[in-house]
Amino acid sequence: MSEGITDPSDWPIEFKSLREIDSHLRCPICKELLRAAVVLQCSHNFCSECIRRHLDKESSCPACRVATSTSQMRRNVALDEIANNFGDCRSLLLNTLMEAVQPKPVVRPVPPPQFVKEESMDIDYDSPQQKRRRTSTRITNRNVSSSQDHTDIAMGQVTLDDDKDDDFVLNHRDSSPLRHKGKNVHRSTGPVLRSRGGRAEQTLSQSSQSSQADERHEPTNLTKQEPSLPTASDHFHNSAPAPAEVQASLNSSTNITSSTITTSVASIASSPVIGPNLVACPICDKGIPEPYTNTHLDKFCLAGRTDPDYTVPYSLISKQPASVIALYTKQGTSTRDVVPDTNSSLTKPGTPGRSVGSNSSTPNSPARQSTMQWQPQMSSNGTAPRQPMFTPKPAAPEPKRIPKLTYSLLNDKQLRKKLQELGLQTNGDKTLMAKRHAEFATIFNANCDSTRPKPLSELMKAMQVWERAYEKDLEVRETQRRILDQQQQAQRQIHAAKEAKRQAKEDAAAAAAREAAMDSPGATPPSSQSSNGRSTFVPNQANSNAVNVAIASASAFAHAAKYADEYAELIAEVRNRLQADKEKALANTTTTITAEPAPPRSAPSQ
Amino acid sequence: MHKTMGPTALRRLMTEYRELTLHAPEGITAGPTTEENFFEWEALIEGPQDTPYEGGIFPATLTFPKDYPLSPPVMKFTCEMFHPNIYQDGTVCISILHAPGDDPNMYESSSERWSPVQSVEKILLSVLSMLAEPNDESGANIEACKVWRADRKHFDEIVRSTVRKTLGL
Repeated sequence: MSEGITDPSDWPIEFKSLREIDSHLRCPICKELLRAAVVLQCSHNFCSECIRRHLDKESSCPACRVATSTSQMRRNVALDEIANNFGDCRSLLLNTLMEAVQPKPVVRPVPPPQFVKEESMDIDYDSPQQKRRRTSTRITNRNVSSSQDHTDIAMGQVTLDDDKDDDFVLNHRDSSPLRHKGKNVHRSTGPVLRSRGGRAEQTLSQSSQSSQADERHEPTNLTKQEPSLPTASDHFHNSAPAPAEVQASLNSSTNITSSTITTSVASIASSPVIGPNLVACPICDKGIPEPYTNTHLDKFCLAGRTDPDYTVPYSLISKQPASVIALYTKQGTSTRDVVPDTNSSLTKPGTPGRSVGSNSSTPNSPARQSTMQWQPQMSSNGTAPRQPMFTPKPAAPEPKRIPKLTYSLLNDKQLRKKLQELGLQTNGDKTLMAKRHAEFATIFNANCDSTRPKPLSELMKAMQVWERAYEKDLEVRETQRRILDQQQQAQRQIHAAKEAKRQAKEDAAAAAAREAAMDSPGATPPSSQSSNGRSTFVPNQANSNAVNVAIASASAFAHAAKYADEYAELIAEVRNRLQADKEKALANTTTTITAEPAPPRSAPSQ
Repeated sequence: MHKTMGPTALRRLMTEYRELTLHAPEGITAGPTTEENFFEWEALIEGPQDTPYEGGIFPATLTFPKDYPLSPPVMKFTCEMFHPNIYQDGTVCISILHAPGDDPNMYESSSERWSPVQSVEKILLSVLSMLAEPNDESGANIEACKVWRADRKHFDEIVRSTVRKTLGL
């Protein structure tokens, strides 16, 4: 049950500092490794989601109680990266350390396979995460029995998949497919960015022979383009020959071309991620040529439109082999085809000439698009936004958050509209809608704080789970309320029965007393009846009344007594049933809770 | 992986349970009543030394809300307890168990209140120190308050007798 629950004390006692590191990378609220770390003004760090939920209830730091609010918290990007990477390597590191600390005299018939070797054998698309997992499984298995080594290696891929499913329930930090996805993307961009220079050169030198073929891409365009843009090309080729020369060289000799291009690519590689004279947009992180930053900001980025391709005229990449183009364009959020009709967009970069056909704008209605500014951050195909890991981040790279609403000031219709704009369900009463909006705002905004954001589809899935949990919770509450109601009703009935019983007793006593008084000689009624014996039925008004009362109360007494038993039975029955109900409801909740991380299963064990 | 209320609370409780089993503080045992429901815990608290509660072992239940740790649990002794800060029904009334918003006695400073960084362990340690040093400003059990203030010896006697009762002597 407690699988996947990690703790600083997992580390061997010899490595106290590791325990410290581990505990400092944990959120004090959820006690897990920080996710989307944010820092408050008082310097305390939390998971974005945890602290957001807390601040919804109370506006103070949970650790020191200094007053604060969501607007005052800031992303702690470095800490988040550290926590993420620590989480990635934690189990491997722990296993390795444990082995080192407690060396086991395991006989190894086969020398341990070389990690490097195996990794080099790995196919390129095999993600680092998978590699890591594979090696870690092997290590643990080696502990158990070394003879399994072979099968493990052979079945690496298979065991990996099993793994994923096994710890899915709890160990989601490591194994959730979502994380995998994010990580893959993230990791794969890293090496690419770093090794771009080397690889590009390599590809170039390899394909320099074929570069003439590649030039067929847009030969005419280049010849037109280059002279028209002396400044731009100067930006780019600090050491490159004059445009005329480029043209000449491109047209004539492949050798010169490759050398000039190589230098230019080298200059790309040596510069930060974005490229020469490109600066990252503070909003969408896209690389924008410096002179066009304001144009981009005002006319395209903030307006949610896709801007024309500034990069083309600045680089010769349209001239490069396809692989280089791919490397380059991979960075952008949208892979736009390097169409060379850039003359127009070049001379007038402000015109949204070619922005129409890009990936994000067409499928959405204008209304939807205006509110959904996350599109640039999270493209619909599920890839994480580009990670300019080694670029100094601009001051405010924050994506747009969902603002907090004052739900009491909105009517149902307005609230429904807000939900619609976010693509959320709109059923239910206002309370539910408000809760739904708040929940989505929390997870969405927390996701914005993450350095490994999830795609929107994952958030939507989380919302579905939330809906189900909410319904279940409502059901449970309803059952509890009903139970309480029935109990109270039963109590009242018991009380009434008891009351009736007591009343009946009293009445009977009173009647008996009166009868006794009647029977006593002093109170002999002045009856004209000459019958010698006592008469039970005396034609005296008062007397007959008393008798009637006595009879009535006696029957009431009997009735009450009978009903008291019945009520008691009823109550016992109700209690039993309620108990059963309660247990069932409880079982339901626990099953939902435990089953929740699992894929959507309808109605767990009823 | 989402983090809806339930799983967060569940994972956090599991973490705390693990911590408590691995490094249990002296005089405290606590854990879920059943493995199926992590939101109901049972705790056993040893009476602190040099107090009239010494030698006693007091069972209690902890009921956690679904949004734990944002809201505090409710702690209730299931044995008879004579203490100024424990209600007749066994419910413990100390500041760490009160969310800052709700203050039944208007005496607690918010710094002592519940916050998500608190834990079961801290609650139980607070209860231990509460047993040793009752706070007569918050009267959960007025009778016990009065006796504790007026006649300490008598108070100790009553407590000892309840301790014996809980031990079945």
